[in-house]
Formats: sequence, C-alpha cells, structure tokens
Amino acid sequence: MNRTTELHPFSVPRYPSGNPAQRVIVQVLVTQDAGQQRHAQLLARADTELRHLALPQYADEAALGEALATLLSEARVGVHLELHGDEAFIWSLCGVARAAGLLGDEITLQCNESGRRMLFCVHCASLQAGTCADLQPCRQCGVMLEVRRHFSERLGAYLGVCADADQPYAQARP
Amino acid sequence: MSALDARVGETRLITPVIREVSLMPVNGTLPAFSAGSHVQLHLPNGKRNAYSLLSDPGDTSHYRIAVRQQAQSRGGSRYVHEQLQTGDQLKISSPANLFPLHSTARLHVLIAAGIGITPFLAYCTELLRRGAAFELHYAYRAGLSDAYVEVLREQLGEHLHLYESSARRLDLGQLLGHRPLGTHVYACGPQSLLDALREQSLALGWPAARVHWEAFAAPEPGVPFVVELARSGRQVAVGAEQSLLEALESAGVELPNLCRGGVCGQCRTPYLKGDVEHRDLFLAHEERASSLMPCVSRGCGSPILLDI
Repeated sequence: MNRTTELHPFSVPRYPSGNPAQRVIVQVLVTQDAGQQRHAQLLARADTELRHLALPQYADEAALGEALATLLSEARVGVHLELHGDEAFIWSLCGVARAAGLLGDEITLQCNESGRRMLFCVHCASLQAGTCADLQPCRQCGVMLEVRRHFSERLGAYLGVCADADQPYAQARP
Repeated sequence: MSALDARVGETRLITPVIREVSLMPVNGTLPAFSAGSHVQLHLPNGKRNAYSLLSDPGDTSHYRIAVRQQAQSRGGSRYVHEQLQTGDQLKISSPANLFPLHSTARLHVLIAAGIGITPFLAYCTELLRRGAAFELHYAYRAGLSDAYVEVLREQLGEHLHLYESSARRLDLGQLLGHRPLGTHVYACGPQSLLDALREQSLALGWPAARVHWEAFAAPEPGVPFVVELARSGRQVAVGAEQSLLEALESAGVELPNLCRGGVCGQCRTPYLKGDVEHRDLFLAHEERASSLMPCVSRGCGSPILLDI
C-alpha cells in the first residue's frame, strides 16, 4: 500500500482489485513485460485455459488493446482478466474490457505504482500520461499540477490541479 | 413505513390455484415502480404478505398481483382466494424493489418456475419497450401453474422458451453455457431452482454479480413462543400461525421491513439471549449469535430477550 492509499483509501484505487470467481474457465493474462513468471503460475492451474497477451509481442499499446478487444468480443461468461503493468497501462486496458462487457469483479488489476499514470488536467481538460511524481507540469497548458488523491475509474486518471495559484507555471518568484 | 389506501378492482382465477388481483388507487394515482418491485398487502386478518407487481411499470393507474394458493397457507393466500372481493379497501405498502434489472446488462436471461413468473411479466413489458435483448425460460405444470403462457406466447414470440414439466426439462447447464460477456441471469422460483442455479453458475465460472434471484418469501408456521423486549420489559406472545414480526406489529411495535421472507435484511433485530431457530437467508453464521430476522425466525427453547 503506498502513502496515498493510507491517507485517502476510498478515492484512489486499491491493488490487487477485483473479486476472482471461485472457478474460472478461461484466464486471460495481459502483461506490460514478458510476464513469464505469472504465466507459469497460471499455467499450473489444471482446469483453466490460459490466454496470454504480452506487450512485447505487439507493435504498441494500441495494437495490444485491439487484440484484447477482439479476444473478448468472442469470449463467453466464465472469463477472468488479469492485467499487470503500470497504472496508465492497466487502466487503459481495463476500459477496453469494461466496454466489452466484463464486470469489475471479473478483472484483477496488479499495479506497478512506480511507472506511468494518467492525469486529467482540470485547467485545460486534457488527459495525458504522466509520471508517479506528486508535482508535474501539464503537457498541454503548462500549469504546474499537483496530482490529487482523487482517481476516476471511468477515465483511468488522477485529477491534476494547479499546485500554486500565485505561480501557476512554477515561474521563479521575483 | 408509509402505507397507501387501495381498492380491490377486478379479480380473476387464471388457474385453479392462481388468482390475479388488480389494485386501484382510492385517491389519484399510485406511485410509480420499476420492474421487479413488490408491494405488501395488509390483509384485514392481520397478515401482511409481499407480492411482485406484474403489471406494466409504465402504468400507475393500477397495480396487478397474482397469488398462488398455498397448501400450508398461514392465512394470507387463503384470504386472497376465499374472501377478498372487488370493492374491498385495504392498505398496501409503497412499492420497493429488491430484484431490479441490471442497468449495464446486454442480454437478460430470465428463468421462471411456476408462480415465479410474476416479476418477469413486468420485466418483459419493460424489456420489450426498451428493445433490449432477452429470453424468458418458463417452467410450469400444465393446468396448474401455467398462468400467462398464452399471453406470453402472443407478446414475446421467439423470446419465450417453455418447459412444460412432463414434456421438457429445464437444463440450467445448457442455459448458462456459452453466453456472451454482458449476459445477466435472473431467476424466480422455488428454493430447489435457486440452489441448482447457484451450483451450476459457480461451476461454469459465472461471478455472483451476474446472477440475480428472488426467493418465494413467506414465513413458515411453527410452535408458539414468547419474547421479552429488554428496554420496556414487555412480553409478546407469538402464535403458531404468526411470525414474530407480525406479533410485534400487533403489539404496536413497528420494525422496518420489505420482503417479510428472510432475504432483504431490513428487519434485522438484536437479541441478548434465548434459543433462536434461524430461518433467514440473510445473516452470516457469526451474526446469528446476536441478531435475528423476526419475519421468519422463531424461538425454540429458552425465551428470547430482544434488545429493543
């Protein structure tokens, strides 16, 4: 559990999320890296079929997202999805899965919280991939944002609000 | 809980054991309701039973319910069948919904057995209006619990799948297999159907969040017993044909309640001591040491001291 979660547990995601069914017929594993260790663990489950999509096998994240959408469009109830990666990666694919009809209970999110995360700038309403730093400039409007402990599951993003209204662009004090 | 005045409109026997009753407003219109809602009927004999509303949720000029005569009636279904007359006035509760349609479902699979068809009549009207994808699977006994088969055949066309008990078995494994993501299943019928559904859905990897059910909620009779109310020191006797909740209501003690059948959890009441025969489907094992559901559960030994 990171510092943010301890201070404000209900407005930020908790990992791992989801509520795995007692029995899963088809397990879909999606990993940002090769994910060999988790692949081997899941393969050991006797009565579950495993499908693994790993980002290194695809041109980019968009191509991986399309492959996941295609797989889920043909899937049947009994599927459970497990996503491993940084927050920007897992929440973008979580959106693909929800659009395909999966419920929150059918998606397990495992997160590397030192990676990228999505930010929503409240000043210019842009959605962008940021870092895990607490302060970072908006790439669209340049305002120095404080990343609030407030997460939108719909957007998969944290709220970014001007850190210092007297010096919105973090310019040097005169 | 707020009660409404209603007048009994048309009643008709639709099979030898099922009577349909329409309820009209005494003043103005009735409150709107969503598909799957029920109301409680406050019968003149002191019984209050919950019945699903089967009429069109878009029509608040009247409600319709259907009541199956129970062989071991405690007086509720028998009263509706033998004594209730057009023109009678009675109190009903406002509609409440413990069995709503799931808003993000893309395919609704409805499973009804016998009189369990009632909530699905409102469902089907609503789903047809929305143009939603759905199937109704209806198991019944010809001549006995086949109310609405003809009406449904006309209204639903290929949405309807019939299982007459002597001709075709309802195979839950087949029904739940190979369903697209976005499917939700809803069932209403006897406990044996709901148990089989839970078992089959679990085996096929369905999460509980896709499986919705409504039990026939009705208390069973038992032996008479006595409870004491800790805060007032009053004693309340519960008759064999009466539930604890009904006995408390007769004594002027009103508890919040919705289903009156041990499933919704509204009437949960703490107790300090006594032997309780728990008959509900709501409380977890460890909660039963200090809470009981007076709508169905009964005393069975040393007297119960309720913490109210």
